[in-house]
Amino acid sequence: MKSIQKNHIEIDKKLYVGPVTSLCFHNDKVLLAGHGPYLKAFYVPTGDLLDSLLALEDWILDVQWLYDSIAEQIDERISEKNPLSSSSSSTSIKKETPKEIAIAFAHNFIEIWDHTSSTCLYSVECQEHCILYSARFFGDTRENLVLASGTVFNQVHLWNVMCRDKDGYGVVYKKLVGHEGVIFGIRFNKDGTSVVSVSDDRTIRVWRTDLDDNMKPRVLFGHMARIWDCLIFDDYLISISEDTTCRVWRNRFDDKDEDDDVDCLACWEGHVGKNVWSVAVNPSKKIVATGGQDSGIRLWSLSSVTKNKIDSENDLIKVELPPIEQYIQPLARNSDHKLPHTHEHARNCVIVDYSTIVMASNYGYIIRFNYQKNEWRTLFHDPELASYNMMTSSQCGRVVCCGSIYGQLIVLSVTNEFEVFEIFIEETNDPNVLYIISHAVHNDIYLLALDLNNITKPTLEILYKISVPPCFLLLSVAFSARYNLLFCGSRESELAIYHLSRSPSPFTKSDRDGKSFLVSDKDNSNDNDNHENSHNISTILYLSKTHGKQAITSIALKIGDELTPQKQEDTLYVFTTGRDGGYIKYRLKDLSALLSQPQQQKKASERADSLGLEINKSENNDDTKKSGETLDHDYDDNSDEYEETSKINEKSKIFSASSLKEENVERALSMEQVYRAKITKGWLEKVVFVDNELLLLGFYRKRFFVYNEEKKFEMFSVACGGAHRVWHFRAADKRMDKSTFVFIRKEKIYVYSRQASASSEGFDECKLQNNYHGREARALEYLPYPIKLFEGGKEIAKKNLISPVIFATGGEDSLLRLFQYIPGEKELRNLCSIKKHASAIRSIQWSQGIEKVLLLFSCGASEELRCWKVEMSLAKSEQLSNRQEFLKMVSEPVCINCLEWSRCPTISEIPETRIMDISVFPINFQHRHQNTSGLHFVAAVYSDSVLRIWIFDETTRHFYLLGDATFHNKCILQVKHLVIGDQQSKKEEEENNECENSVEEEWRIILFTCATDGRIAIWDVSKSVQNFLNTFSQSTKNPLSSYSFNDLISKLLQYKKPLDQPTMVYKAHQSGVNCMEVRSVGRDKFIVITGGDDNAVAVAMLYTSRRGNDLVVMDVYNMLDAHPSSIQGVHIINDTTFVTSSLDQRLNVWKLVKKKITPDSKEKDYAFKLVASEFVNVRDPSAMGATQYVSISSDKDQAHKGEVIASKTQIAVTGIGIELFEIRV
Amino acid sequence: MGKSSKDKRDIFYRLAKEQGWRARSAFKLLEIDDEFHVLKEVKRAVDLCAAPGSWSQVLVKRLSENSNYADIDNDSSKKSSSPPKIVAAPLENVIQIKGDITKQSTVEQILGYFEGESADIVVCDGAPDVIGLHDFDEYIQAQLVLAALNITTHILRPGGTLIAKIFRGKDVTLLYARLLRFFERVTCAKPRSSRNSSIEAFVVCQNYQPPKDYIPTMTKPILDLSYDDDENNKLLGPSRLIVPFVACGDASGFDSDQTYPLEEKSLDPLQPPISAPYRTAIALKQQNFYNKIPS
Repeated sequence: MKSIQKNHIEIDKKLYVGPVTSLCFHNDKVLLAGHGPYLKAFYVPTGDLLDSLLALEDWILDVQWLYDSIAEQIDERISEKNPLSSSSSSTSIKKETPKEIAIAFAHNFIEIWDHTSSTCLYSVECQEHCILYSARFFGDTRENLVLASGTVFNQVHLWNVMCRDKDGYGVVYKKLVGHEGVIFGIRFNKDGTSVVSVSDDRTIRVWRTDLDDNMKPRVLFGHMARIWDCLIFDDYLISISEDTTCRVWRNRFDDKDEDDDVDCLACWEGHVGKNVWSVAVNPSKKIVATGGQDSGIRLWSLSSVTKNKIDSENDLIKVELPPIEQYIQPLARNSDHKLPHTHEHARNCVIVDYSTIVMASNYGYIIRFNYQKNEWRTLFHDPELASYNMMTSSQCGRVVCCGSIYGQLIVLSVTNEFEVFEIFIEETNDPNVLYIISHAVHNDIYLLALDLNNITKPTLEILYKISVPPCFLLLSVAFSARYNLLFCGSRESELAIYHLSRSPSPFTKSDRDGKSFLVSDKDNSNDNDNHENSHNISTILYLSKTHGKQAITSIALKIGDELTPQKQEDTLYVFTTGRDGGYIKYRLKDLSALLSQPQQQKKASERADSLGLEINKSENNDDTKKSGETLDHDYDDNSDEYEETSKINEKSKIFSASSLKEENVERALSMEQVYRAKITKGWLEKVVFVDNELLLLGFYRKRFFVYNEEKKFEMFSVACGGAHRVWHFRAADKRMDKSTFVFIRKEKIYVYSRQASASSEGFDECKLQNNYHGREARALEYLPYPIKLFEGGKEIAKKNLISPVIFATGGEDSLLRLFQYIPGEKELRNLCSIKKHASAIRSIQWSQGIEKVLLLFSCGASEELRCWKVEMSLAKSEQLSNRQEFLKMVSEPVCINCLEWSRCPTISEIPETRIMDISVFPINFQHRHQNTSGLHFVAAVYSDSVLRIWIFDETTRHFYLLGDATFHNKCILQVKHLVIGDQQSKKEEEENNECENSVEEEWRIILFTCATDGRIAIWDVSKSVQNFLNTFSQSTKNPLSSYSFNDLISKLLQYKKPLDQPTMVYKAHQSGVNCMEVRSVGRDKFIVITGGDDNAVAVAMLYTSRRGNDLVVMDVYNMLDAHPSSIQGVHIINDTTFVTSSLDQRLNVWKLVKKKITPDSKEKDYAFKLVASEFVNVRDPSAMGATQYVSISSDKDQAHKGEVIASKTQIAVTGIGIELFEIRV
Repeated sequence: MGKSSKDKRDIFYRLAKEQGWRARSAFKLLEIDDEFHVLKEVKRAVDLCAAPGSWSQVLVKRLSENSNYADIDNDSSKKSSSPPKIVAAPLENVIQIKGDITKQSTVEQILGYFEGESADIVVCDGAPDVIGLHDFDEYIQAQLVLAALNITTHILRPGGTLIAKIFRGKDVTLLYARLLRFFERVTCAKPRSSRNSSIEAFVVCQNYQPPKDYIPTMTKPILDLSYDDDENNKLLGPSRLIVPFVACGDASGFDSDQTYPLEEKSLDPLQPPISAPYRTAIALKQQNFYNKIPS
């Protein structure tokens, strides 16, 4: 969409992301969505965006098909400029043209229009003059048309369109009274006999319209905030709320029996931030779509309400042991079946495949059972397995292992492929080789290889014997055969990693004649003692308290970068879950040196995906354990419970992990904690990958649940009574069409089994549109260039630096997010989303670190200032050779890793102090021949009116306080910097001016701050920085880790000196200065442009002499009425052109025009001229960012195909949503 | 949010409690008056949407020598979404009317109290409970201002003043255009006690001069606004109608955005907050209703 063209300035709207305010299924396959000014159509089965048309100039509030003779519209807009716009957009697509359309207005009146002639035929106002937040029609002729008006006085009024009182007003014939708050949504059921209304009082009320007036409504509580809308059909009510959830309720009115049955059938949490604004159900009533303030559109399967939430035992298969005589008999002749004195019952079980389990009885019988066919078969009996039996099965289903209380391992063939054998099974690429890991309490771990290549003579080889730290109760293992790394998690939250670099054990025990194959622990046998020393392997990395003090319940491994599977194969990701309800993702890098030795690969495969299971004797044999006691089951994104509460210098977990690194003999291994999140207040028991999606399994209160971490929702849950000691879960696909959950409760086995056919839900992708910040964004910063981009470990040549467009955002939801914009794509690419900030993020800055590193600084409320390390690479590793190729890079997806790097100490007296803004740059210029690389200048302004300068040292990852000052005596809103005479700018100047002999000049650092007092202060902090560098260099590189907490703080604050007062101050605004940009114009001149709360824009021109300290303001030019509202963003495009954005949702482009004036005139030299203006669809636009950006000619333009046409400025305006603009000057 | 954290966040919240104002908004009217002197010589004032009553308190203070003014507690205003049962506590010299500002009867009641005279000033600090859809919230707020303008045309003397809260949103220029038809001077005032980060501001409309052919009516109120109304007020571009902006209050005084050290003791608010529509839901929550799980 082109807008005003003046002075060759063009503004193009490129992309919009914002709240989804309306949804409507056109049919079962096509979903329409109102998204800001756009009407979008999605193809439901595939999730593809079919079309997006710019329908309106204004917000879409309702999308309504007009098949019937009369439909409805609520016009709630302030403007009448296009009162029928919503309906006209609908009529353009509809098939049949009804003649009349009825419109319900917010002031409680109705108009009936003939839309073909655009004339109003009929108009009636309700006798209740009241503003409405909601209204809904029922009926399809003038005669039977009823309007339900939701008043601000908490009532729903039903009135007939044609029935007037003596004054001509519409008569209310029924009032539905009972709500305690404003009515936000009303719906009729199909025959109009029921009305459902939702309100500010957080209730849903269902009313009968056909019964007498005194009929009480059905009242449903459950939402934790205001409710916006509720569908009513068949058996369901589906409500959406401010609390970001969509709930499904049982639709029944006869609540005479107030039984305990829950009304809420499901709570769908698929949106972030705040508010689900729209909901729709498809015509066949199977799929529900929801649209959020976060811009996300989600599909939900209504059938899954019952399918994925198992509440009744009727949905479970209860497996009984066969009659005892039947299974004891067949084996009786082979064993002296002296039955134990205890009674017989199910002791353990494992899943073999999706129809079969293998169970162990208390008497030591191992029985295979097919619950589909109800067939069973006794596999084995050993009295040693009586009363105690640890079991595990291989993923392939061929092998089951049992561990006895006496330390025996027994390997069984499920299908009688081979004779009984002896536990922990690791699959290998060779389907005939399995790894078995066994562990006995307070004892060593054995890693064994089971070779089934010769099926008649399987062999079992002990590869390693590993000693565990004292009191290490192994609860979880994972083994990477590729790197020979074994990961062990303990009940006391320790994580131990072993590198099995030694040659494998020479001894092999196999007893091919016997019925069982035994490997004894040393407690029971002395066989191994002589080998002990040579195979004793100790940890190379040991972490304690990783999940607080709770058990590490599961470990999973993933090789390579999940974003770039074809690259970075020397990276291993480790996932652990714990009974603290959290999971942690670690990264091990540069593992190529650890690749398995050839002799170890003899039998081991190249790569082993790990399935780890353990044996241990637990003192706790209770069937049911109590999981968390807390009340709310919240899938809190990742609030970090164990984060140190220390006020100062909370350092990241990454370092603590790597600082614990122990070098064992040959090589060091460093592990970084990439991510941690708390998922439940109950227990997390397992992490698995299904179809490459990360699933987390756990127990909370009385339920077992499966949580999809990738998509952030609970996929499945079973009311199983609580956490169980014996349970298994297996799913063949991410939709769990084929899956099994089995558990033992009170000595009985229960199986939940699903064998559904694929794609029964009617859609593949549950996310039709990705989400953005669900609450107001407050900061946006484009990645500035030049940056160094790496590909396959090599830096991409500088001349090829055509940049991918990447920006970081933060806001009220306290999420730090990174996005990439690829020209032509309709959605932003979400690169990462990190919840670490405790509260709102106010400002974000990039900085170039040493070597490959990009640093990101974020700050905000609660005095948080954090540093992140960002690694970036191209998703594809194609060679980018020539010019044609590098142009692609703008449209190449990149991969991002954003690691938590450091946190600045908090030193304010009041913890609520906000850091309003930061300004950051790397100090990469020479200071008296010292190397300052790795030091970053961070100026931060605080809400208590303090300016602080921190120096961030990349090598130690500490923030050192250089100095502070107060001046404004008001909340400081912005800080910017300007470096004059540094190497880089000098070099550029040299290139430009070809001035070889540039004079040795001192660099200068100028800071600009502005506050709510309307003043701009200019600080020359060069001397302070010089002083800091002089003293800092003498004392650097002292390891600070050895200091105690308080000492460390005093070390970090030791350089602190008061800063000099500002060298210059000018007042440009009446009140708050919300935005500011500084730019050098030529050699000694620079301009400062500010935008204020007072609607004004001010341009100040300053002149500096490099030799002296003088700083002269030439003049300040004010444009008083730049916008009718507070100005929130300013960006300088070139020396005379700049852009402003304001809360009035306009983007204005201004030119500074030099006036012709006579010398005597007192008029100023410059004037402003508005040269272009565009409407911004983003509400509450509180931040603006900009980048230069190269555009490539389209394919249509054959003559210049693929060529760079021009450099444009891309502007991003963000608030509730984001909109991208392209400005070409 | 507890009162202590509000104390920390906002200096004016604290000051209001210390100085005996029912709400921090009292400072906004005080600062506007300090700048515009609109309460000077005023004898009759009307405060629309008066709960919890801090603006009425200011009016009482500034007009204390001219006691003949009324306070309309506009509880059942059609624009207000606050529950109808809440009444601001009575103030001395203030007459409270629980009426609907869209009703002729309310107009007559006010004029009755003024014994046929018109008011010198009408103030309105009312705002709806915002729902979060900015278009909608700004629309409702504009409707509230227009309703206030409508009743003002019945009760304000020519030359009088209207002060009303506005949201400076995307269509605020439409509101300015409408107000300028009735007042000679319209200024957008932002008191320093109103947070810099807030979209809120106040229109100070001075010298009421209704159009010549204008007849006040309650049956055909001034409702909607359009850009097409006025050639000088377009959706985009330089010809938009923007009224002057004035920041009010002591520039060297307190700053509502600044973080100040907290004094030891946290005072109780003078007027407890009006009861929330979700009070039943909260009560249920406290009874652990939401955590019950069927066995």
